[in-house]
Amino acid sequence: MRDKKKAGAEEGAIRFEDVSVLYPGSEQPAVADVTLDVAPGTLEVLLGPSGCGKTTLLKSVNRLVEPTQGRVLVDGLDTATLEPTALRRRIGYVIQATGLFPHMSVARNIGVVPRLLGWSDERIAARVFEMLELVDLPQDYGGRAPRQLSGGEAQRVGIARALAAEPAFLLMDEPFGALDAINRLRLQDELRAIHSRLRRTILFVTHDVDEALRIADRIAVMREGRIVQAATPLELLLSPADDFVSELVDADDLFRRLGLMRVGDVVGMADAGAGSSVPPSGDLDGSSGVRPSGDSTTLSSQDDLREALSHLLRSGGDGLPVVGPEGDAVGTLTLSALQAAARGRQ
Amino acid sequence: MNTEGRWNALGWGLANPEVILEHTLEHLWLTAMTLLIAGAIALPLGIAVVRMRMRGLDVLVLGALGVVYTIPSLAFFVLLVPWLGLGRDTALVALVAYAQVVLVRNVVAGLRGVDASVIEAARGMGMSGFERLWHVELPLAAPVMLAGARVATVSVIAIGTVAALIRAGGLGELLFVGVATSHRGKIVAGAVAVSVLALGFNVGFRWLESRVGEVVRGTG
Repeated sequence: MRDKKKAGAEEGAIRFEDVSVLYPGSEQPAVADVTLDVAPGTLEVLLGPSGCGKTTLLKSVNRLVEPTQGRVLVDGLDTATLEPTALRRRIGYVIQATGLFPHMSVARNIGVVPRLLGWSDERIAARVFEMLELVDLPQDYGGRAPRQLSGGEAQRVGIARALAAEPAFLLMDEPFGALDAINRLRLQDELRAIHSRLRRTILFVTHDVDEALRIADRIAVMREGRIVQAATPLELLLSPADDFVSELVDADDLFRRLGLMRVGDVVGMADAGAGSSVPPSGDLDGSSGVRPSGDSTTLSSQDDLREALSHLLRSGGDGLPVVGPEGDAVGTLTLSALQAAARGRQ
Repeated sequence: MNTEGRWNALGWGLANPEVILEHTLEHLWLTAMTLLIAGAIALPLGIAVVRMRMRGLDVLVLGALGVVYTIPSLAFFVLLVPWLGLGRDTALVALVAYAQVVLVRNVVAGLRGVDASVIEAARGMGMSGFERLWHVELPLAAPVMLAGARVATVSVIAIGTVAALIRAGGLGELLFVGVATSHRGKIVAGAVAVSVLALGFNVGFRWLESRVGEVVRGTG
């Protein structure tokens, strides 16, 4: 029915088609008529208060929950037609409680899915090495027991384990919810870095609005089983669909809004789109290093507007020159441009 | 007379180690066979009770096994005789039935005690039902299951003495013959041997439990 070309085009995509989930013995559906497209390589956050159905929706992807109505497509294929175990081995899964196997070493935990898939021992060992590197854990942690890890370390192993078999998808159910604030921020940053390096399609469930705004490419706000609005973080702040979304994301917080926008978004609009999708890397850190800290006479198009505002205020002038990723001048950031950005695009 | 009698009591055993050894080996054989067969029944039964999402199944199975456990051992052995005759096999049937309740209960408790998040992770990673059982649930339930095996072993060793009445041999024979013939030496020898067996298995199993527990908790 579905020709290869089409399946190829949908590789890495997750698509919910009119999905409803009604748990037995419950009057209200946990998920009601959800239709949502998650584009390949997107980090999509499902955001909402507890009980809004976000976890249920997430679990319908790897069939830990079966939709009572509608269908879920992964890589363009209806998941109901796929063998659950085979499907799940292609989808990384990270949960808040980590679910690390306490009787297995860290290395064995990471190697679980590759082992299920019948990889050779050498290939598994090499992959474990790579994964520990990816999540920034020392190699000697491979021999440790999960019990010996801190919360942040354990969740790093959880992420490494989920990514070990090179899945095209990653499902994360409040993965950082049990961590302290510092570790949470650090792991959010690392997840962003891993995401921009590997470009997996990630579905990430959280009730933490700050977390959602920090990490998401796109956010689907859920309430009582339905998706209220699906948009980019900035769009949610600039044009919330209703009062619920507006209050949830605290859309009136100008600083939060500015913190989510890049200088490139308001100056040199031509490459604004490309600029905001370029992940921060060593190169960019190097170019911003050209500008000595404290003496902020030049802004980078990668700086967020909140940062830019403080530089601008400290400089005492009306505007600051902006340079692009290659150090080329792209324009000037002015206070009035910042004001316009804070008010939102009309 | 009195002190001399006590000396005689221990003296008989010291003078006849091969008789005690023979009965001890019979007793060990009976105990080992019982546990092997009982375990082979209890493990799948316990797994089925946990896995089959039938409400009240556990109460039903454990209740029925509990009733069996309350039948006095002597009565149970005698009840089986007209049906299965005298001998070891009859004793095995009764002992296996006795061991079930403890073993099944601990298999069920062990499997139910496995952390729900660990099971969810195992499912979410694409383990099949069997893979989950083999790689995750059984290893993690092992300490609790071993505790069941320990209690079952000790009770089988104790109840096994009664089996001598239906010609199943074992250390009970020394006890019953000793009582019937007022032979204090046999009574003492049999009692001491049974106690040593039971205590030895108890200590051995406890050691095994704690070792396995350390491995399973990742503290070993």
